[in-house]
Amino acid sequence: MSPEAWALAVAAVLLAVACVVEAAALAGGPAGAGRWRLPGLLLAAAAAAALVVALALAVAARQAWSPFDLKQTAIALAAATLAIYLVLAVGLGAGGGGLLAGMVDLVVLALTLFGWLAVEPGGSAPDAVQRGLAVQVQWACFIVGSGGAVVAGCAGLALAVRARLIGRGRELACPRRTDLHHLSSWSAGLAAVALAAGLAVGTWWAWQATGSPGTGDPRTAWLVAAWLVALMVVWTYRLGERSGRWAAGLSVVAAALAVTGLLAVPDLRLILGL
Amino acid sequence: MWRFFAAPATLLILLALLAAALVVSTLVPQIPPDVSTNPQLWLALQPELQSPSNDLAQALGLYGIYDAFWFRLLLVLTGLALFVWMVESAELAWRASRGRWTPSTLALWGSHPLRHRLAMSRAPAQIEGQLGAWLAGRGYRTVPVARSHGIETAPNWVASRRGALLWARPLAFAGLLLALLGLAMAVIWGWQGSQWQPAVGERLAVGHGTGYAIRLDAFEPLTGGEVEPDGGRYESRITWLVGDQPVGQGLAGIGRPATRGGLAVRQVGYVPDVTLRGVDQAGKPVLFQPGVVTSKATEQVSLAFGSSETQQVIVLPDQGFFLLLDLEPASGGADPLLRLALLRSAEAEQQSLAVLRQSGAVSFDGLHLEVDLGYRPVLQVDYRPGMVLVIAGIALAAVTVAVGWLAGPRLVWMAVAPDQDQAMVHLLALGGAGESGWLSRLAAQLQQELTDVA
Repeated sequence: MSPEAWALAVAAVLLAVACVVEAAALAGGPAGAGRWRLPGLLLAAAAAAALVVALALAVAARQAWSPFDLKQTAIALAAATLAIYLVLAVGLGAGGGGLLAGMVDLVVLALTLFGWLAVEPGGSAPDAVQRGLAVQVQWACFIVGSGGAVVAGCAGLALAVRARLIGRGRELACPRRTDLHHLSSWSAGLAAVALAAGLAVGTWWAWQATGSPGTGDPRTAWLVAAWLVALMVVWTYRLGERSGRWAAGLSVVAAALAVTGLLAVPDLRLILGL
Repeated sequence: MWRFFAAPATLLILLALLAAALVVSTLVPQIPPDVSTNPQLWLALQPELQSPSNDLAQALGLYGIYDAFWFRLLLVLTGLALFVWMVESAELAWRASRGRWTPSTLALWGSHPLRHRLAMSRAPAQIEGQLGAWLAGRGYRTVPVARSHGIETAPNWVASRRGALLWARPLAFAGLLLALLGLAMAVIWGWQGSQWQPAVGERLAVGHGTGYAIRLDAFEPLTGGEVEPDGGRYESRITWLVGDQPVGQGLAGIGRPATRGGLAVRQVGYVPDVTLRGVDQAGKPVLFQPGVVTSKATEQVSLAFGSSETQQVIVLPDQGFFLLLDLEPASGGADPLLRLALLRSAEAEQQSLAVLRQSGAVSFDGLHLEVDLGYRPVLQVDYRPGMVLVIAGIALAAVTVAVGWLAGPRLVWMAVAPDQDQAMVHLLALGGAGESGWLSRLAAQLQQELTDVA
C-alpha cells in the first residue's frame, strides 16, 4: 500500500469508530448525548488530521497539487467537510453530537473510501492554462465551498431523519431543530461565499487565458449550479420562519450537485456515452 | 408584474431552472463554437444523436443551450427578478438608515418574519420607556414608527444594530445583476476571432471594423536557452498596426493578453514548426512547395503542425519528388521527434532520410537541406466588453454575502399592545442565518430584564 493509503485507512477506521460513538450517543437518549459529545469530536478531529496527512502524502507523491487528480480531490473534499463541520460545531456550539455528527462522519467515511479504493491517483496532466496559480486558488475555493455544501446537506438530512424519528415517538438524543437550522444556514453561507470566490477567480483566469467566460470544464458548470442552489438556501432562510423545510431540502440538493460535480461528472459522462 | 417578480418563489424557481440548464448542458453534447456557423453539419456527423428523440432535443435547443431562446429568456427574467429584489432590499436598507418607518413598511419584513411574543404584567406605557433604555444600552438604535393618519395603533418601534450592513443585501443582488448584464454585453457585443498560428513577421487584419492589424515580431520561450517552451512560460511580442503604420507594441503570455482599445491578443498555446531551406550541388537554392498544389514554390518553407496534424508533405518541383515530414509531438518531457522521408513517386516506397530531435542538416541526392525545429504561437484576438462586469459582479456578490453572513445586521420591529390587565410585546425580525436563535436570545434577555425591574 502507498503511504497515503495507510493514512486513508487510519482515517476510515477513526471515522467508522466515530459513527459508532455517534450512534451510541443517539441511542443513549437525552441524558447520554453529553457524555459522547467529546469522544465523538476528538475522533472526528483525529480523522481530519489523518486526511490532511493523506492529502499531503498524495500531493508529495505526484509532486504537485492537482485538481484534475480525482484521488487528491476526493481526499481534499473529505478533509474540508470534516474541518468545516468541526469548526462550525465547536464555534457555534450546535450540532456537536449524535445525529448530525453521525451523518457527517458517515458521508466523510464514504468520501474517504472513495478516495482510497475507488480511484487511482493521476488524472489528466494539466496543460499550460490549467497550471496557473489562479486555477489552484479556484479549485481550493471550490473544495471549501463544496465542503460547506456537504455539511449543510448533512444538516438537511439530519432534519428530515429527526422529523421521522420524533414522529415515531423514539426516545433519542435528537439535536434541536433550531441548532440544525443554525448550522445548516452557516454552512450554506460558507458554501455560497467560497463557491462564488472560486467562480470569480476561475472566470477571471478563463477570460485572461482564453477570452471566454469559462474553460469548458463540465465540473465547473455543476459547481455553478451548486452555487446557485446554495444562494437559494441563503435566501430561503431569509424568507422567515416557515422556510426551514425548503432550505433543508435545497441544502441536500446543493450537496449532491457539489459532490457529483467534483467527483462524478467525468464518470457520469462516460456512463451516458458522452 | 412587480409583485410577480418580488415573490420569493419567482426568484427561487428561476434560479432552480438556471441551475438545471447548466447541469443539462454538461450531459447533452453542445455544438462547439467553431462550428456554430453550420450546426446542422455537426449534428449530422454525431452518430449518437441519430435517434427519433433527436428532433425534439434539437427543437428545444438542447444541443446549444446557451444560444437557445428559452435560456436567454430565462436570463432576462432572472435579471428582472434580481432588479426587483435589489430595489426592495435597498428600500429596507434606506429606511433603516434614515429611520423612516410607517406601518405599511412592515411588508418589507416579508410574509413570514421571525416572530416572538412576551407577556408582561405591566402597563404598556411603563414598558415603552424601559425597553428603549435597555436596547440603547446594547447598541441598538430605536426609532418610533410614524402613525397613520386617523388610525389609532399600539406603540411601535424599529430597533436596529449594524443597520448599515443591511446595504449588503441590495449590493448582493446588484452584484448578480451586474454579472448577468456583463455576460449579456460580452455575448451581444463581443466576438472572438479564430485561432492564428503565425510565423515571425506574419500579420493579421483584426477586422470587425476596428482598422487594426497585428504582426508577430517574436515568439520567445522564457526558460533561457531551451528550445521547448516549458510550463506555459512563453510569450509573443506583437506590433499593433493601422494600415502599415505601427501604433504600439505588446507582449502576450499565458493569462497575460496584449490589449489595445478593448481588443485583446491572447496566447492560447503553441505548436511545433519545421522550417526547411537548402542548396543543390551547384549551390543553387532548392525550391519548396507545400502540399497544397496551389501554393507558390519558395526558397524557404515553414510548416506548423497543429494539434490534429502529424504529417505534412512538401513537393520539390525542380527535383520531381516529395518530402514526407512526420512529427511525433513532445510528451513526458521529451522533445518532439521529426521523421523525414523521401517519396520519389506516389507508388514508390518511402525512403527514410533522417530522424531529428532538434535542428540539423540532411544531405541526399546531391541536395543539402537545413531543418530548423521550433515553435509557433497560437494566438487569438477577441473583444469582450462586459467581462470586467461579470467578474466584478460575482466578486461583489461574494463579498456582500460574506459580510451579511459573518456580521448580520439586526433589525427588529417591536409593538407593545395592551392585553387585558397586562401588555403583550410583539417582536418581529428579518430572517437570515442564525436570526432565529438571536431573536430567541433577545426575547429571553428582554423578559429577564423587564421582570427584574418589576
